[in-house]
Amino acid sequence: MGSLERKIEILGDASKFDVCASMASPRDVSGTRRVGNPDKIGICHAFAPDGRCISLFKVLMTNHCIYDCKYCVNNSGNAKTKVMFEPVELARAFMGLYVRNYVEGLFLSSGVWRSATDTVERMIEALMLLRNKYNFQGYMHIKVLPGTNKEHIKQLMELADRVSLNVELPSASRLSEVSSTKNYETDIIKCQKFIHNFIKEGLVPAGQTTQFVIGTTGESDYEIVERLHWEYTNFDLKRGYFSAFTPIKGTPLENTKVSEKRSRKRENFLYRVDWLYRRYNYKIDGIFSIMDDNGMIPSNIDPKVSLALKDDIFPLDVNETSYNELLRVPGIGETSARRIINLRKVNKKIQHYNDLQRLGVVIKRAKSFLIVNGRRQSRIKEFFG
Amino acid sequence: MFRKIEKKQVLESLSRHKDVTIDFLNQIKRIPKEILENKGNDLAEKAITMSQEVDSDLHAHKAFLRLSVSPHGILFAKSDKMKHYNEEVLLKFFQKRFPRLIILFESNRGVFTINQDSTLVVPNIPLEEVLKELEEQLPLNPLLTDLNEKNYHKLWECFAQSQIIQGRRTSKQAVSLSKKWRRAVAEDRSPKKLDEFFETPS
Repeated sequence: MGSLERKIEILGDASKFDVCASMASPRDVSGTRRVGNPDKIGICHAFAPDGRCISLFKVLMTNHCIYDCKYCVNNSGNAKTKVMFEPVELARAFMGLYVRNYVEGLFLSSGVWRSATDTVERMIEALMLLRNKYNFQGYMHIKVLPGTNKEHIKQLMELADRVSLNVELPSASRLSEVSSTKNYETDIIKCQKFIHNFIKEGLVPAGQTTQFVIGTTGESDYEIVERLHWEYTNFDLKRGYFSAFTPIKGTPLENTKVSEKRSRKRENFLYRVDWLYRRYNYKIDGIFSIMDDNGMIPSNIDPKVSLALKDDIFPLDVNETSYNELLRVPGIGETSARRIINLRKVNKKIQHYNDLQRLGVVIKRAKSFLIVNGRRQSRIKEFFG
Repeated sequence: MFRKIEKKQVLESLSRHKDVTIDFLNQIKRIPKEILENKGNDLAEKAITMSQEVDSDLHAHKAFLRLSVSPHGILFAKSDKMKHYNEEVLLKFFQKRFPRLIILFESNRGVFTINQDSTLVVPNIPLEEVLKELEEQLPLNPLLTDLNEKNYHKLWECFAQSQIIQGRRTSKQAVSLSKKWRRAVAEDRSPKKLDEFFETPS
């Protein structure tokens, strides 16, 4: 196998736990000399066996790393083959795939080889080749490495559509449990502050994101949600990602026992809670209130249903309720709530559950919380008083 | 975040549907905007479903159609899977992405190409012949000459395989995937087979 294929195999594999759902940027492009554009419609070029979208050319610059994070496949102690892209070879490989419509953009991360400065300089060289030599105007998401200096962060942000820095764990004490070399404040939070300040100056149109690895240190959902809330409040984060911890061969945590099913469910519930907070305007205290004594989101009930059961506004008359209240009904999302409100404007009232079904409402979930045409489905216990 | 359904867009998509009739289009035009856009009655729902069929057909081609490269500044592809009249919109999509390159696309209805002003259809001549004729007239393009050497399909295979997380391979999640995408899922198939979904010219 050729060396480039081998590098893609290793550096693609090493990046697969980095999560990124977005592939579009609000940046406008013009001119006829360019190649590519950050299309605003999400396009998946393939799907992984678990249904994950493969859209961006997601690779590391290198899997060399000076940090010793116990959960990470690239940690300094892992004897796995170490390779590194030459900037020109990365740029050509990516462009070749892009013009053939295999990928939608670039997602570039890296281990830290020698120092953040040395590694980031190579990343910048590759990105400059793409933007200047190839005139590539498509989407690029770049991971800022822990400990990157301010000047390099600015250079990366001038070239990228979106940047992110993985906080990985919710606090300095949690990080110290899995890494003796990474400093939470100086390597991560300080860099995020730089990124935030440059965003305020107008760099990176698609903003910054971060990622947590879930279940490495016994951290609770409360700790994660609280840290994420702090990040949203202080750094104006676009969103957070979660990646359930998977023990990887060759790492100090390879023999850790993890229930794949349970950790994926936990990851899924954290995404749901994050969505409720970001999109449905739930207050953070409300979200904390559904957590159990150990600070965990109950795994046997959907978080939105939990919140609805604690809410005393139900049942709601579907023809009278406001958009924001409709959003609080389990089974009603943004699209169906908007449709209900829009139809109300032309005096089209909801008469039956079938009407709701046509609008995209999940009747099974929603009907206990709604009054439709003066009627509500009640429980047998309630019916008999 | 969610794309709003707009009457204008629904009518545009509907007009490219293979089974649409003038009468049906006129009926849809008469539906009030709010009723149509919010699926206010059965006819509106039918119209939106049909327009979504057209959009899905187009979206699948944007996502899964692999282009081949000619060093003379041409990107070309074939597909016999295009059900609706989406050729022109697809070409415009690629033209916006690669404004300096010539795009050739062959569907069951002929070979299509596009310039700034209009779309040209060449019926009854295979793509290879159109390509050959164009190559004889056009100079080499530096960008595509530079990107013409490697076996990029092989690189794509390596990359797509590298992204699979074995621990997450579950049949349940694949089943919960929307039906329209299921045929394109790499589930237990190699990316090579995935590409065979659309015939890629060598």
